Amino acid sequence: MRVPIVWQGIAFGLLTGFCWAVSPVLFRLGYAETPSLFVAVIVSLTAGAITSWIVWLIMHGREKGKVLSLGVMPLRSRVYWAWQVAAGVAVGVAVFTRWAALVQLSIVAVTSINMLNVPIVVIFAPLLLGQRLERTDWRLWLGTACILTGVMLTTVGGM
Amino acid sequence: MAGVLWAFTATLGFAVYQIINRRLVQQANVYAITVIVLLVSVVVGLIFVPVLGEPGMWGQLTVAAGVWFGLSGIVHFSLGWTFLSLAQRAVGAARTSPLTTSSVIVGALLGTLFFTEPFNGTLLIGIGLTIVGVYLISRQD
Repeated sequence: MRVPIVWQGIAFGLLTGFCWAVSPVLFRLGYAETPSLFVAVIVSLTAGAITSWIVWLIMHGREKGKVLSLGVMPLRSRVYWAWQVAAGVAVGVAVFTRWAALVQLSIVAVTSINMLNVPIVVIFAPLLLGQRLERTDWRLWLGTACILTGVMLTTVGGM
Repeated sequence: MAGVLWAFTATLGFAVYQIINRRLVQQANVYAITVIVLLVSVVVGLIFVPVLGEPGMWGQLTVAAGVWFGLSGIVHFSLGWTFLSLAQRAVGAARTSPLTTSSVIVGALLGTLFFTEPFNGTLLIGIGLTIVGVYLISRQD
């Protein structure tokens, strides 16, 4: 039985949330040994990059002669590479400024401010990418409001 | 005030990434995207460390800390961000973004289960609303 694509997406989205919930626990164990946020982030980013690279090689190892290639990457497209680098810069800035914020503000404050990325994405993704890629309807808006309210209650309730 | 500015910058950076990533996952392998994004992030990070961080702390990095940080990175970046790309490819950035905030709920549950943090009515309502939200997002016209 094939799982509908929507449910696959929902499952992957929730798995993302699960991974992002578990990783701070591991992070905290390391931080107890070496209390440096920046060293921690550099080590964890590097470990993540190396692991993803190995997975990528294994996945492409199935295709003979493509083990060390970039596979389906549109290598010749400069526009593609510009977007790829822009994505990396956005992530780097986001990760490190988040930790810089955590040094000065409480976790609740930083988490609450960071949650604003959700309405930004929900509003701007359809505008910038078009309705063909990003379909929005009232259920998306109501669902987003429910999740944000639930998460906010959990965050504030845990103070 | 600087802390608030950093937090807003992080929020914008992550939002921009999600929108760009949605475009990338249409064209390329999600594993390759994750690798390149993380490598560029490390370079950005190496610029940030002298500005914001404590470069002297490198000498104090213990093996145990390195292992925990490494595991954290594998779970958060390698697995988490690959799942993010797979989710975006399946249902788009706008539907994926709210789902990722469920990490707060999972974190609260993990805290209750493993760190004996309190489980109260507010948490229960928060979980209930999140489940309703996930259901609504999963329904499309």
